[in-house]
Amino acid sequence: MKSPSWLLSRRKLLRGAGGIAIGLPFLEAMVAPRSVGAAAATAPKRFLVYFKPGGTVLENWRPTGTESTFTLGSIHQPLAPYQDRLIVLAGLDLKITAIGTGHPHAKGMGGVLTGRELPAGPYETCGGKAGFPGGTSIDQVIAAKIAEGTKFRSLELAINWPTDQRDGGKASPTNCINYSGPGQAVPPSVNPKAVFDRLFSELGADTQMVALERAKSKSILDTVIGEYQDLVPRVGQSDRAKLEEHLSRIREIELGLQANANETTGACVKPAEPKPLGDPDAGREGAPGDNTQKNPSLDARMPELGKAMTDMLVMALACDLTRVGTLQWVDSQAYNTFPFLQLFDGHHAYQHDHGYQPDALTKIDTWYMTQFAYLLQRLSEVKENGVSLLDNTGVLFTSEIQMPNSHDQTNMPFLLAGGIGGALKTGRYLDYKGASHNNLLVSLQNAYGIPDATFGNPDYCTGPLAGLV
Amino acid sequence: MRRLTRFEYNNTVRDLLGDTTRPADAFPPEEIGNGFGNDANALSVSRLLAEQYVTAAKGIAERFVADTARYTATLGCDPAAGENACAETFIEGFGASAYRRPLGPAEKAHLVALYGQVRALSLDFKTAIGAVIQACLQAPAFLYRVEFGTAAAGSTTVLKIDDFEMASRLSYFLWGTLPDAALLTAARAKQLGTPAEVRAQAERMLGDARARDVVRYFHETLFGLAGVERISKNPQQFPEFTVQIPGLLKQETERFLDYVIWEGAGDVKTLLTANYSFMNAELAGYYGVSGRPNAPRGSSFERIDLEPSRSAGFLTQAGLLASLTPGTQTNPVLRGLFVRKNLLCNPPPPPPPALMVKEPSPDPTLTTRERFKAHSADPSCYACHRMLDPVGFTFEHYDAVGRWRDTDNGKPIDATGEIIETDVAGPVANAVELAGKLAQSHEVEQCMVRNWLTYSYGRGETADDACTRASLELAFAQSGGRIKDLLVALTQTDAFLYRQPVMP
Repeated sequence: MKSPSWLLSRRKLLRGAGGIAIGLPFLEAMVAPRSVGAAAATAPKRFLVYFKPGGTVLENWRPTGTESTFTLGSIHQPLAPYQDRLIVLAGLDLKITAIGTGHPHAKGMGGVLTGRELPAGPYETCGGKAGFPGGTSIDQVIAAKIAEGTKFRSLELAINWPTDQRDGGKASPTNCINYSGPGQAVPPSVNPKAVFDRLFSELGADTQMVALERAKSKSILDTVIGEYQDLVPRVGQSDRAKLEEHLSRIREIELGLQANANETTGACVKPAEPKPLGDPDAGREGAPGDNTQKNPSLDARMPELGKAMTDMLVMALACDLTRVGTLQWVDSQAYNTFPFLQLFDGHHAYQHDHGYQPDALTKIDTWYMTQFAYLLQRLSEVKENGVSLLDNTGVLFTSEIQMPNSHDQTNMPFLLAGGIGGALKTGRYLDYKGASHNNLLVSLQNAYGIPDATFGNPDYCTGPLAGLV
Repeated sequence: MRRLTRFEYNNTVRDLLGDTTRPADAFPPEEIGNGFGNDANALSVSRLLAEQYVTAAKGIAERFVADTARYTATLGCDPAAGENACAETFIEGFGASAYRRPLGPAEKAHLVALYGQVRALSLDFKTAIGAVIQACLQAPAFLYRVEFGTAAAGSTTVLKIDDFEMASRLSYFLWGTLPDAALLTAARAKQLGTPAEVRAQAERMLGDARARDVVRYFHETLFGLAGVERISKNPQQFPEFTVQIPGLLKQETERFLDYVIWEGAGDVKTLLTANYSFMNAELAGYYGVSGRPNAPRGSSFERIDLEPSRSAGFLTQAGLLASLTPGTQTNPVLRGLFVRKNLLCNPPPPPPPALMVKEPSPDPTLTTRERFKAHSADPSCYACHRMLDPVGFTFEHYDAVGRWRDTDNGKPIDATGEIIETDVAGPVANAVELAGKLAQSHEVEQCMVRNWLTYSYGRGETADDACTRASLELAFAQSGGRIKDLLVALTQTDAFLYRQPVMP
């Protein structure tokens, strides 16, 4: 049995690079941060965000019963095998959306992971022109703490995004939930084939080749970094901030060149290569060329693309390419249809554009829960150090509103799943009776070893949720 | 400082290295900012974007060195006669093209050093040249348009855009790509300094096909047509809306806009009122207009004259109307909002923050118009929806996939409506009448000026733009609303010719 994948094999790398003419100092730099981790005998904690838009049908979402003995609501039936790995959260409100600018959907998108309001800004949200929120999202905060030394600090994936393509699908507060800093949106990757190439191109590759390619990449990045450094002092203040932001991203990439990304060990296996988005036959039923009754759009491909993205996300964790990820099914515009559920209007039409239709929404949410159950299944199948990847992971399930037809943002449909390396006691149904959801974000950061007692806008935060972590 | 958009990046690498693979399509989307995604203040660099710059540069460089003919021709020297000298020659020439100006000494030294480092890894000459290309394509001088300006005669408060900077301003505004040889030659000869010199270049450039790409991109973004190809509809309900139709609809509107702007009258009025379009036989069949006298018979697009009482320029084309109808039922709110926001630049105010409307479940026996009457019954809704719904109702003859219909849910269509709070306010009988009114509206012209201003200057509008806007509006009105003339006028403003000094 090889060493766990999160431990870099120093010997293998040195041996592999030995045959080529690379100066040793570079190689030392390359292995140093990871070899320190030799003492890390336990697998690291991981954090995932799982997002679907449009709230839920609360009466079909809510469990009945007590904290420890409860019956799942009908929407949660697909999660029944994982009830003991779940915490169903009730009574948490997105109080932060009471302030700031923008439509409730946009406020929810911007606020749910940052705990911050949207400021005024240039973006039309169908409810006032808003900007991106002025804070960092919880996933990025946790990544800064736990993702040290992995190749990718975090992964942001989306399936059908953004569904409003009229402007060419640009990033805005109605479709971004991840923020690397104030006003700095992190738009997700949407092309599964590109994600595959990005994540797994080095996996299983020849160590010498990888070392050589990385040495070349490092020279190129060093040159590029030099150009940014020379330019920064010559430009005005706002341009300087932009260039410095860019520079820090390039430095992150360079740091990632030191991380192990080519060893396949234990549960780390390269997933199946997904079909490219442009593949005309992907997702179709029936004979190729028979187009009359087929729908090749992303809407029809959601089940297939969602599975591919989930598989890659789980393997990215299992291979320790990253420790933090977000899977956003769809943005809050939710114009997508569900042809595979025989629902041909947009999700948003069922929410309220064409009148509130709880039966259709229940069907949609139950389908989303089936996909969520698949993620939990895959995480539980990966074994590391005698426990499962799910035991070491925390998954936050969320939406941006609660009530589809009124945009009510009280009683938000939050779920937690997984063990966070023993920090989270699951199999519970907890009602926090109107607490601010910022408190949930505090508890989450605490579970990952960040001791701060506040998160996001402090006016909407009173500390961690009692009894959660 | 501007950053290349995905559109500009694709065009630039096409013209720089002959790479037509549109590598920037894989980049994460721009922040929408001013609506066009080129708002310099709104753009930030995510880790993913920075990585995609790496990936794209690698792919471009690899394709380039693998294309022996192109590689040999571009290199401009024979490495066998001296590798280092050849590398330096290439770096100077390629660097100047990529950076759209001569390389500075430090820039050149960095690239030469990189070449040496990669060569020292026992990698071959070609690979080292490829590494230089990769670095150039990630350098700020390539990805950004950084301007410093130069002293302006008679002014201590503003700087003139220097000649090389002006070459890029012109080429990225009018062509969405890097300057051609003529622009760079003019820049070297310092012949881009006067408004007349800039105007002469702008007029020359509008004769080039690349200008059409920009104008197409602008309208596609302004009119929200970028997603037309991705529209999907319930195949049981709309079996004629086959997977080919969205692509054909996109072509229809592109061909129409191209024709009107470049070959036809070239004015906004015609865009809104023309009763002809461009279709092939399949699309004519989809619309049910195959029986018209000059209906196209083959697979190529041809002009077709349409029934004047049913057609009003791009406004009644199915690409637009279907894209304003997510799902299976027409949506008068979205259609009305399009007119108010995209054509008049005058959307209604947002719903009050405390407004919490609980919409009822739909009644399947009603028409769309009847269902949306709920808005007018409730005063808190109607305060704003009176600006939207009566505009959207005029499009009720066009179904969820943009085809003409006479009935909705078995009842005759009522397409009457009204437009308010604009210079052409009043009741209208249908969408064609509405378009006729809009064609007479100064506010529509002013809105077009506003949008071109924010697009071409790559930022949101500021209070300081009031004078620039007023002079452009005047020029646009005097030219009879001709878009080509507006593009030239945009290169003649102080905002285009000058810049503020850098405040360190």
